[in-house]
Amino acid sequence: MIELKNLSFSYENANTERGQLQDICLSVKQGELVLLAGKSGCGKTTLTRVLNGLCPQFYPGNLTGEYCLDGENALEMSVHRLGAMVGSVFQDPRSQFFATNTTDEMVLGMENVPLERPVMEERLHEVCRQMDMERLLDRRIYPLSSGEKQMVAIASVCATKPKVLVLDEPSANLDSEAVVRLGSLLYRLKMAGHTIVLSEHRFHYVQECFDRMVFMENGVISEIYSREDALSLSEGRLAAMGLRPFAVPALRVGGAFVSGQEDMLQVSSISWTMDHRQILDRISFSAVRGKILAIAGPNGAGKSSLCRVITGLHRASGTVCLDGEYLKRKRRTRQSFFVQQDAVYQLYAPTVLGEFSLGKKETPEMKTAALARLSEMGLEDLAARHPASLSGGQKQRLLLALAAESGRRLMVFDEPTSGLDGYHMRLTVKVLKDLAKAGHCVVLITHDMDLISAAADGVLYIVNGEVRYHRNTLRDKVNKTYYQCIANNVCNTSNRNKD
Amino acid sequence: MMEPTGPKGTTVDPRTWMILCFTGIAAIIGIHSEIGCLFLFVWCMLVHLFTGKAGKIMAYLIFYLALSGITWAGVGLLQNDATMVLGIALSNMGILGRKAVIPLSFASCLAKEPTGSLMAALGRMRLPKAVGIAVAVMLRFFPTLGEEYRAIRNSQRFRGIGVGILHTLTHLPSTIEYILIPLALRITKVAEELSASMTVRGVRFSGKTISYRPVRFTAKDGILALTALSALLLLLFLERGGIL
Repeated sequence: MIELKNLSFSYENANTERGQLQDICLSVKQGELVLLAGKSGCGKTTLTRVLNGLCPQFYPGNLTGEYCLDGENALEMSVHRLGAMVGSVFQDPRSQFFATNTTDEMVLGMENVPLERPVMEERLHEVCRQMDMERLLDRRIYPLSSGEKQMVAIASVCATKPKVLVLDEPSANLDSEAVVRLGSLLYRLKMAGHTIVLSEHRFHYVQECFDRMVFMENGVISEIYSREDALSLSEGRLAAMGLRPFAVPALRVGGAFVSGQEDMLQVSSISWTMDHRQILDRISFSAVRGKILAIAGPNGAGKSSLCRVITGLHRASGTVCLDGEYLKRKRRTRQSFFVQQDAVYQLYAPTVLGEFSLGKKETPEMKTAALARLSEMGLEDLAARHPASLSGGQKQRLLLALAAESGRRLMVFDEPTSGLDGYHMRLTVKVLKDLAKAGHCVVLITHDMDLISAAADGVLYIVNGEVRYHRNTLRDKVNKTYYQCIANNVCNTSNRNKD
Repeated sequence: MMEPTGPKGTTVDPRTWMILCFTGIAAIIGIHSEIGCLFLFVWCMLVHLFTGKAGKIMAYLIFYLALSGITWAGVGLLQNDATMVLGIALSNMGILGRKAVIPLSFASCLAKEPTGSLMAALGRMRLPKAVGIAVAVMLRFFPTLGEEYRAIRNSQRFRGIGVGILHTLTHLPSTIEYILIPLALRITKVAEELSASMTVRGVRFSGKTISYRPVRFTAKDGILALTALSALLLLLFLERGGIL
């Protein structure tokens, strides 16, 4: 189906001498599911852009070599024709929407093929049933959570039933259940003869159905593993390659979390409504200084809303105490640091170093401390650079450094490892643990089971704006099945502890 | 299990909102008297009432009354030489604001129509697809701008940048810089990725497309459009005849 021969590509105006793709030779058979793996920046996204025709027709650059799709020279096809054969799901769910309504977005590709209205109708409902997302039909897109938006994007592409499906980190914002459903949808599409190229950092949801793993480094295919060979790679070897493990995280939670007067963060009966919908319903929990609490739950459960209330961004009923002191909304904002998903709108100074003295008068002590933080994060050489010129991972590390240096007692991170490879995920885990060790109370909003497994001391699980359970993470015993319990949300132990 | 029920159309055709919006613009240009403007506003509210948009009437009414108050205050200040400039500014703001609310209320209804219906309606009007894409992208960007602006302001609260009115006014240049630069960077990224997504999904394809949502210009739409034109002509006639 796909034949790439000695394909190289470099973006126009790229500031590196090496091309983004070099001498790529890859052949993918019809009905095959190929996994693209590698560290961030290794060329996976560029390769997906070549496959769907965006490189060089939309992103100009120099492309050499051959690309045949279904026996035709794909380099001579228009991007629209190629787009009809190769369906694409992009990484950021917030920026790929054309319509303002979910149904319009999901039928968009079919309208342009074009398909007859009854066919569109049938396919729309078929894909929604398969992904269990009928509730998302005819909704406004903007209020949806990132995970719900990503599901709409995936459904939109799957509904057109393209010959080839190219997905760039589709699971980055999805909850555990949605990831499992995505895995089964991809399996069904593969069985129906669709060819799938999946660029991913999290592999466990396709470990049963992928055929080969293509490992890329610096724009080159370093190795192509068969499924058996890939699954036999040891965790150490995967870590050395900068990848995450194939196995589901060995996470086990248990033991009742006992609240005490000494708990740093005490949240009581938080309720919040938006557009006449109850988003949070009498949520109470506590978090301890020096520990990391992960807030997990399905997409749209109210995790981000809860953290916005705790940090004082939203007005809500209920109380929030820090170190036993009741704090009003504005004081909560002054006492906390909330790192949101997108780093772009959280950096404002003209230099990386300047970010540390933003809104304050710079002193020599402040500068010394800032340089020490940058050094800790491996950013000391970038102190004079403009923050906008940093890579995504560097921006995220800079925000972590700023959070650490802010001295705030409560630190909240929204999906800090979304889209991060194994190497950067481990680096982030280390920084988060260091923050906790320094006496901060660290709260994570995350779907990333690898992160929860590696970093969290406790898990607060929320469903439909209500606490389902709050338990400690147990690391002494390995129990894979518990992950399944979280994914399916049917674990008996969790129900017993329902607040 | 959910069975297909057929695509939902809209209760009012998007073309009707366009007609109402353009009629509203023509009316506020052509009608100048206070009483004429009041009648226009009443007609506008009646349209909202009979098209199922009654929920917004109270907000429009409060807005109208507040602007009437500003006009009244502005006119009061015109008597004094020292406050005349402020009086002119306030009275103009009140008069223009009250007039603008009429077409803007219809434009807001148009913006809330599903993108598919809007594109289909524009297609029926034999307008090039590029026009539909431009309108749809524009409508898509209004909420995006709001969302990104709020995200920036929220982040600034944690970075020690004051977001209160007093701080904003006393540090206006730096505040604008801190908002505009991240907003521009983010919007550029969104625009590029949206354009890429539209390209691979054939939105820019100029060939035949089939709209999922049926759009129909019904008798109700015809009555609404005729009422709008009649109201405009009647008010113009009454005003020109010196009755209003």
